[in-house]
Amino acid sequence: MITHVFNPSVAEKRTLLGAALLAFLAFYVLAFDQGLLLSLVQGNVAFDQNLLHEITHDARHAAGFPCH
Amino acid sequence: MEMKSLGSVVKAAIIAGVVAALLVAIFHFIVTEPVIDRAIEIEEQLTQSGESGSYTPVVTRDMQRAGLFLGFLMYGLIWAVLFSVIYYLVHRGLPITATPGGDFWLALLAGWSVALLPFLKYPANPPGVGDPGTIEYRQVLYLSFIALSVAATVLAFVLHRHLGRTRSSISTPIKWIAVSAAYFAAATLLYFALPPNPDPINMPGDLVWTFRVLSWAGLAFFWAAFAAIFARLLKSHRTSPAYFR
Repeated sequence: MITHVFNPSVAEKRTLLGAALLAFLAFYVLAFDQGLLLSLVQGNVAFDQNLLHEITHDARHAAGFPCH
Repeated sequence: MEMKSLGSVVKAAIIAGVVAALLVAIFHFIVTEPVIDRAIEIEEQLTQSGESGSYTPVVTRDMQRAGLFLGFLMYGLIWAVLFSVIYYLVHRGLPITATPGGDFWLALLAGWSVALLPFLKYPANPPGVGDPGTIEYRQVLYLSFIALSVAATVLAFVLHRHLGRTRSSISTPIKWIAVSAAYFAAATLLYFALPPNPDPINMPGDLVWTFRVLSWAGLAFFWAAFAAIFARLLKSHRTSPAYFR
């Protein structure tokens, strides 16, 4: 029996972790943001404009993410 | 033991994700956009008769149509990265990746877990359906469903491995039936345990269902294309023959 002890190198671990975090951030922007992210630079107007939501609007609907 | 380099896995997944995303975006651009336009028309009629529409959009419909491509490109890249990270970490311990067609089925199973099964519980709705007041609640439900759905799939793999180790007398078909039955039970439980989408459907039923069928077809198409391209590209990277445990 083979026990699969798999240890990626430190550099690989960093790459994997960084890539996964970046993907989660992109997932948030694509599917979930309702103005919060841009409110960091735009202030409260970001929640009314909801720019990221509006731009990804059609893909959000078509990919089945909760919308509006 | 078969080893695939991180580079070959990521490259195969990203090419597969981008190509599949462009194909599905073209599909939606041609077939689904007219349905979205119709839904937005009805939505505007409904809001005009209800409240005074003083709202001027910052993003035009044309920008949203372009956003369809941007959005699906992101969708393809996101899942390509997440899938390749997981695949790279676990593929050495998964005998299925060494079988012919194994990579294809594994990628398809990932798509089933993160998109196609969650869709059956919380189907897509066209613009005009959805109460802004419940958006956060619906997002939590949706994310929870994805997480639990992935957990059910992982548990099925763990069970398969466990049976292989502790009950070596069980024949392969019986093992598969046992694992499939356990997964089916878990998925069914999940489906009925989570609360439904609370929002009323205030749009014509045929429009909603047309949109849902097209959306689901788009996702199924994306994951099938992703899985096929990923498996094909990775196969050409194989460095050693399949191993058997």
